[in-house]
Amino acid sequence: MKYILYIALLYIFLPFNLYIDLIAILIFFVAFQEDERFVLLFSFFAGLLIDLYYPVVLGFNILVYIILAQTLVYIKKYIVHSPVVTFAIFTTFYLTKIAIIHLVVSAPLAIQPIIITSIAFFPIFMLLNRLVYKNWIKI
Amino acid sequence: MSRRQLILFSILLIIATTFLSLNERVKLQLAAPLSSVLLLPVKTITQFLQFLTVSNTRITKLETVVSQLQLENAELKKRILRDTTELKTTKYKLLRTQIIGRDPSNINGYLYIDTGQRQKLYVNQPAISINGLVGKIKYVGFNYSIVETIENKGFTVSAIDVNTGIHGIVKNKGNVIFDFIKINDAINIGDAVYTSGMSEIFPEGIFIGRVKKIERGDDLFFKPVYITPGVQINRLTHVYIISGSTITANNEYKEQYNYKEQSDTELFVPGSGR
Repeated sequence: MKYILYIALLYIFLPFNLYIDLIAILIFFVAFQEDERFVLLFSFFAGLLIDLYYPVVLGFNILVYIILAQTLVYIKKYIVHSPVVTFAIFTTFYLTKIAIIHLVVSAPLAIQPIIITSIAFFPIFMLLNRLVYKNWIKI
Repeated sequence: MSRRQLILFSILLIIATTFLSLNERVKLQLAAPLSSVLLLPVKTITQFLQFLTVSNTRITKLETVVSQLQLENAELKKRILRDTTELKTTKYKLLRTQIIGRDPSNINGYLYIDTGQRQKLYVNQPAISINGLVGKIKYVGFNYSIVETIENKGFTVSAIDVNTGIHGIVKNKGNVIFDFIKINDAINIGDAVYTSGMSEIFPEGIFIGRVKKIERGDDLFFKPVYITPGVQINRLTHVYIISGSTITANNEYKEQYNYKEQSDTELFVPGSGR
């Protein structure tokens, strides 16, 4: 049931992704909380949808997201689960994604969405926790 | 990383790399069907939201137009009620006079107007408004006159039903009645009644009112035909006094009337109500 919710959220977030990278937060949340195989498939699907909705280079977002998601899945076992660490990892995850896209595709670097996404990360992360796990913080 | 996870990761990685390595044309060909299927929910919702936005804009515009029209309509209604429209005729001279008072004991029966002997008015001059016959002058003072209206009991005027050509007398007997209509006369509800011109006072072709009700009375010869007057006396602020009325037939009316007899089309006279 929660997998359907993730897919639905993906579709809801898609039109707003240009202004605030909600899908990055969602993928991060899924990678942090869910089963490894689902994380990979979800990242693939999310990347594909972004590539189709904002067509720049087909396959690029897929590649970036599956690599980053797999990395997250790999390192999450070794990190301390605390809000500060989670925020730090998300920032790294998000900035890496931005950097790769900026370097490879030469996409213009918009500072405003980066700041908004960073600020909105914790409230959205908590909301997703509340929505899926019925408690505000599950770290 | 488990073996299955590794295999899955490798497969997805290969797919992504394959997508990347395709040339632009193939990418476009591949993206079109994929997006039409995968992005269908987003596109549907986006289109719906766009439709709502467009509808909302249109509703706002239409509301503005409706408001403007309502204001315009209210203004026009006000003008009609004030009777400020200039009534013009080439046949008779019309003197526009203002109502300055009403008889308290018979509020709609007599009207006081602001013109009299000084303006060379005389008794029995017909008074009309944009909606038809109002009455006739009953008394002339130096600076004012009294008009007996169609709503005064006892008011009488010779009339004709232009649809059928039946002549009669319009009388106020408490109600405005088209009198002396024979039982066999085929008069209909809604017929327009005008002055017939068989009078020393009223020229022909002035709209009086419309047939409201036809009763089968006790009289052996005539039936009572009730009329709704075209003019609402209690709404009047101005009346026109017909001067220079030599009781000659209005040619325009005559032509229309003759035409009416041939074609059975409704007659037009200024202020014919409907």
